[in-house]
Amino acid sequence: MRFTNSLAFRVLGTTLLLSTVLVATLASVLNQRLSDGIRESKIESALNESQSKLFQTENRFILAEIASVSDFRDAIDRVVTEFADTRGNERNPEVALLQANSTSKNFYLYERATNQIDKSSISPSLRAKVLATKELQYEYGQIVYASTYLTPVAVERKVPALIIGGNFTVENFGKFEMYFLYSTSPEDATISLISRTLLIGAVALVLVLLFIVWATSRQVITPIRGAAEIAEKLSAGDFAERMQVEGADEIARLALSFNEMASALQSQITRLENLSRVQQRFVSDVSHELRTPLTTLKMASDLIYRQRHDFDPTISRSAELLSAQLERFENLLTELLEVSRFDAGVVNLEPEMVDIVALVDKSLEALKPIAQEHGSTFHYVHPNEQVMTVVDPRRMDRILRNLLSNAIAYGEGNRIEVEVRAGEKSTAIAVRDFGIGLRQGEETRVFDRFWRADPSRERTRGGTGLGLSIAQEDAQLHGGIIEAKGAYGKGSLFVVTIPRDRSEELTERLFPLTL
Amino acid sequence: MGARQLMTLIMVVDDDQDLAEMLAIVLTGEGMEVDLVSRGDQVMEVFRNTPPDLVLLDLMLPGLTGIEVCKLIRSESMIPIVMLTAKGETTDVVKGLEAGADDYIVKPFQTNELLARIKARLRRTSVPTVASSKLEFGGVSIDLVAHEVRRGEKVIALTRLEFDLLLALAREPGRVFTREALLAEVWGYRHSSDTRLVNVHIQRIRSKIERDPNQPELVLTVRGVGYRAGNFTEQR
Repeated sequence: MRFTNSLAFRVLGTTLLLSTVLVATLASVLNQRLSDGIRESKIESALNESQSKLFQTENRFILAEIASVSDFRDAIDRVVTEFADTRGNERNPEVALLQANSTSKNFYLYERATNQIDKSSISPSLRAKVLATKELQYEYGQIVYASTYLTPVAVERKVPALIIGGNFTVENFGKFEMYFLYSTSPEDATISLISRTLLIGAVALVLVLLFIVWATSRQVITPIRGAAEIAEKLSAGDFAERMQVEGADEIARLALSFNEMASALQSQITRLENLSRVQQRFVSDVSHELRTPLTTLKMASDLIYRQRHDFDPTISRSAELLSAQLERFENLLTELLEVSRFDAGVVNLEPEMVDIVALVDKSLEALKPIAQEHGSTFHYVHPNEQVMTVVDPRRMDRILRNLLSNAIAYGEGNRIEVEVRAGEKSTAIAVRDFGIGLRQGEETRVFDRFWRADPSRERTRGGTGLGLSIAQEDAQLHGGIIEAKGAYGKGSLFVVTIPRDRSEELTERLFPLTL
Repeated sequence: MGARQLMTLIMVVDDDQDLAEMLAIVLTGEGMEVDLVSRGDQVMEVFRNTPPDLVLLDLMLPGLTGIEVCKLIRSESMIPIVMLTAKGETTDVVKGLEAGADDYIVKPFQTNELLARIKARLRRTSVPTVASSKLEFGGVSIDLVAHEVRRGEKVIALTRLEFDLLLALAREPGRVFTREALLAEVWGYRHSSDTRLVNVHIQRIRSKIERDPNQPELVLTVRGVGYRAGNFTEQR
């Protein structure tokens, strides 16, 4: 599966990202609010309880008849023991009674605490705040349990706690601080339970969302995927496949219009195929029907031509004209048929491994007599080794003959240079003449059918006006191209470039297109 | 065949009366005798009554197509057949050659060209003055005098052109012949690159003389160049 290319994957990815952000935000806000609420209510109830216990204690000392130090000590012991007795329930606080401004590290003199808690449980900053005002003060800290005889190894146990403190004064004994140390572990446990639940809920919610999106997108994506597969088959030429149409929703409409498109394409292609077949038949029929009488004509003309010396001059000249024009007619017919074959798309390449150097040599040899008639000579430059290239030798020969004939016809009797070059990805042949040349803008027009540079004079040069156009089509059939460059009065250059691998795009140029 | 007439007899099979008449005029002018047949289904009757030296055969015929006629003639005779075709289409040409035609000429043709082809097909390969009149290679013996090819005792029926082609290759076992060289040597073409002629005939020879035509031992392809005879030391 191509996950990165899949629409479903993209939708799921987006959903995952967005829902994670959303649910995480929601859950953390909820978590914060809940834990804040729990803590606040804890503080509130602890403050109320501490306040009343502080009053109780203060009243105890007022009511107690303290006559001596030992009485006071008893009173302190009783108060603290009373609180200690109520221990056993985690919700009850530890209590510590301290003398104001005592700086000793341990409890001494009139200082007492429940359950062996260590004096370091109460921070100096809290003590300062407690002494500064009559109001109760609190902060979060921890209860530190000192090591005792029961726990002989020096182990300090620490419990997170809310520590509340207040002060009161006992006549003759001065100011005292009283601290209530509430363990927060029950609340912390509740909060962490809530957090865990929220986390699990959030993950579950994201998963459910993903599933919903996956299920929904499947309903849309499955038909789209089907359409894509069928479209691929269509482009590969298989017109039999159709999409299934179910219901009347947008997907069904997609399927319906898709199928209509496929049918329209199919009928259009069938129509074109028929047209092409008709065209092909027509070409073949015209070909046959014209060629047979033309053969008879030519043979008759040949016969008369050979005996033209026995006739008087006008008939003799007529025989020559007849023969020449028949030949021209034949060339025109051949090329017209070739052009119509190109148009009908019924041409096919017959590729073979061929030595281009030898092939060019042969074409040059064949056209030498005509070149000599015009006073031109060929100058052939080629690599010293074979240049093996896969081409259709007959078409390649025709390309060369067309280019060479052109060079001879417009070369003004000057030399004609031909060069073969072999590149990494292509083979190229250049034909350069030093004749009339081409004007600006004519370099592409020379390949147009029946185009003539100068209509008034060039008809005398023979040629059908189709040669270069056919040559270009032949080159393109090889995946190649013919390019032209010319300067008026200086001659012209034609370069055929044929790729070694027909399936690859031709980018290499072995000849600079300059004169 | 001592009772054979002195003049060469050419059978022209074409449904176009005017062309056939023109062909007759030209061929008669060259000192040949001409039999004209206009329907495909009449060919074999005329062929058996007066066996010609060469058949000029149009491909599009009423009655039987040229391809079918070609196969019928080949089933009885190895005489040269030259196709006249109005279509230069590869498939038709190749079909004709595969059906047994030796050569083809596309309408419209030059009179000279036609005559050259006919004469090339009629000309017997001149027997070279070699010491032996027999060539042997790879279990196949070529009798230069009797124009016969045998594998063991079995005579292999080759057309005259196939014989010439095989002989050209077998005579110089080391040499690699380009298709063009073979066209010049065997068919008598000067400037032609229609290598289909060579390819089809090589295939036909292979199907007749090779033990396994798909893995030829006698007539080998030299990729990108042409063909050569298999490497067998010459035996006397």
